[in-house]
Amino acid sequence: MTRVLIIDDDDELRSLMKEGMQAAGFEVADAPNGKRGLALQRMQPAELVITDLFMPGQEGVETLLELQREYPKVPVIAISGGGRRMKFDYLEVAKEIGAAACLRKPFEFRELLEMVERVLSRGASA
Amino acid sequence: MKGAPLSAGIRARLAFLLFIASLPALALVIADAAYRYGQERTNALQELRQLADALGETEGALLRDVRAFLQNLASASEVSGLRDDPLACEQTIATALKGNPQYAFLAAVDFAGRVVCPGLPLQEALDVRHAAWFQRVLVQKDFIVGNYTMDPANKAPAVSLAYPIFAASGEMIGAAYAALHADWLKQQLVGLALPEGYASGLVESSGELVAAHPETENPFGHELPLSAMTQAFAPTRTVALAGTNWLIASAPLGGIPWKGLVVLVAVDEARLWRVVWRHVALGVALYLAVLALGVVAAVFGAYRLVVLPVRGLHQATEQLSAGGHNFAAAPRDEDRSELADLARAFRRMASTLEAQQSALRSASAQKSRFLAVASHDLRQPLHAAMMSLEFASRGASPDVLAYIERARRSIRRLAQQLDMLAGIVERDALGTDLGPRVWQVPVAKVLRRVAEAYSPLAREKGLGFHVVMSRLVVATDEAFLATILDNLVDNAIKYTERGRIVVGCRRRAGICRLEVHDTGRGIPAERLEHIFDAFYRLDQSAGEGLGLGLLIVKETATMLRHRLAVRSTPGVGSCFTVEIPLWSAWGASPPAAPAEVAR
Repeated sequence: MTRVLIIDDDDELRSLMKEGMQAAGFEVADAPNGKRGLALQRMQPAELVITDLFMPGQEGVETLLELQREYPKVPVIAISGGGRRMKFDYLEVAKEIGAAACLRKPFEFRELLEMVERVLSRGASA
Repeated sequence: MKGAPLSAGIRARLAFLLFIASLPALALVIADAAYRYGQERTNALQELRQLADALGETEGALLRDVRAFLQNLASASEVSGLRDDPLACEQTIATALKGNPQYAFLAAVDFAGRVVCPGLPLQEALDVRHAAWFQRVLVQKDFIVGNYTMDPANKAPAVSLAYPIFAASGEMIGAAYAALHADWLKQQLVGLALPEGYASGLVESSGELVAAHPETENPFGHELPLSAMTQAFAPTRTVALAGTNWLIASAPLGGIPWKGLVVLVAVDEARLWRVVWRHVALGVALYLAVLALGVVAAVFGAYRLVVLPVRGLHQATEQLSAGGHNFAAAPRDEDRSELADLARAFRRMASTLEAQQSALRSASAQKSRFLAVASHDLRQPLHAAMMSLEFASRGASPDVLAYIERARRSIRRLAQQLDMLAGIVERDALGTDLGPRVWQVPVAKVLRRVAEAYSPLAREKGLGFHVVMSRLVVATDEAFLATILDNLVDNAIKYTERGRIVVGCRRRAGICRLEVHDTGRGIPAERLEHIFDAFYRLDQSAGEGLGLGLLIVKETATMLRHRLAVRSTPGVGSCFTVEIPLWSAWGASPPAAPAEVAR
């Protein structure tokens, strides 16, 4: 089973995504913030990370950078509901940093699932 | 506001005020002139009086001599015995005439008026019975001064004088007659030294001028007009003669109880004016000169004392209304003038406004932050709800599915509303929170900072790094400008492998062109226009960094309305420039308040 890590500060949403992913046959680890997420990843690396970018204190972007540094081979899907800050779209920033894909909230779960499968298959073929 | 130091309005007002203020001086000049004229006139009258009296005295003395002479003659035995021995009488008189050339004629006349003993041989017997002087001497039985006539004997102008001849018994038997040359009288006039412009004359009661001095240009002419006669005989009067006004003093002949002959001394009134005129002209000239000087001094004084402070306040007001930050200079404590009070009031107002704005800004910023967070927090549950419904729709009956669908529609609508709200909030936030605050910034300050910050980095890379200082003061937001410069220098260092980076500014007609030169690899022409786009990077190998630097530079420059430009030659180097208005130029004509921060 492919292991997936979900990082999002909204508990309800996080648990929904977790349930959805589990139902789709993934092993899911989740964390409410970047710090915990990174700790989990270090303990037991996941093959894909889904992380919210707009978390308190710009944590999302930093988390992304950390992940890229430590686990360059693990694709990261960035999600964000924070919209635009200082005219700079966080999602575009994420793309620049090296997120595999970006999703803007709100999205349907099936969109997320499709993106996950696409990213994983891309990684598999590379 | 270059050009004339004062606007026409202030100049006109000042000139008017100065003119009003100077009117008393002008009045003084005029009053002085009037006073002087009065003085001159009084002096002249006094002079006239003295002269007239002196002349009268002299002429009087002369006539008294004549009286004595005639008295002597009349009492001579030969003369008093004219009835008995007219020949002897005649001889005596002829001798007397010869010895006294001032007389044109001498004679003894009998009681009937027959000239019995003429001093000069006569063609025919002369009868003076009807002559006025004869009548008078008969009545007066004393020395009389007769009319001014043509002497019958030798047709020369003469004055008749007579003295009664008495017999031993005491009765009057005739008169001794003398015709005195008018010239003789005139000589006395000439003998009296007259000041320039004065004229003297001896006038008979009929108005006829017996003698005058000077002869020519004499106001008295040949006889005084009747209109002047009565006036002329008053002690001192102004009389109009020959078109001009004359001041005349008259005096009787001293010691002679008779007013038939009068001495006159006159001076042209216009003369007095001429003396005064000189003073008046000088006074007026001085007045005008002082006035002109005063106006010039006031114009310049006013420029410093009035116009500059007012302009300063004007400038401060403009800048404040344009969103700038100018509290105007504080006046000295001792300055209690209206201008100083105005300046103080302005400063209070400006600082109050500033405080209010500050409070508003922070309140608005707080609100924006709050709303931004709230909008984000509102979206999360929406998303969770949507996703939950999505799961719920799996394996749901058509009825339930329909309701789920309606719920999702509502949620989508709610999400759209939130997006709109979020959009508005962010626009607001940008406007007040992040807008630039323009004020005067010495370029050197920003340059020094960037020099300190980036010298180590440049040195590490083995690059030369020169920051040329400048004395220019510009109108900008210091923090924003620092951001721009930091990013440009950072960029320059990043893309330069060898050589150097130079930062400096040039002054161009009210603008400071801040330039960052590098000897880096340069930018090809076709890429130049994209260089400021987000995340545009010439190549991926340039290391870390998000490529945001130039985008930030562009956005910040746009917000400040500073023009951004770049020149580059591949293989040689690049030069990025930022054009910033000089504080002195900006202050003179601040731009209209930016309506909306440029996006």
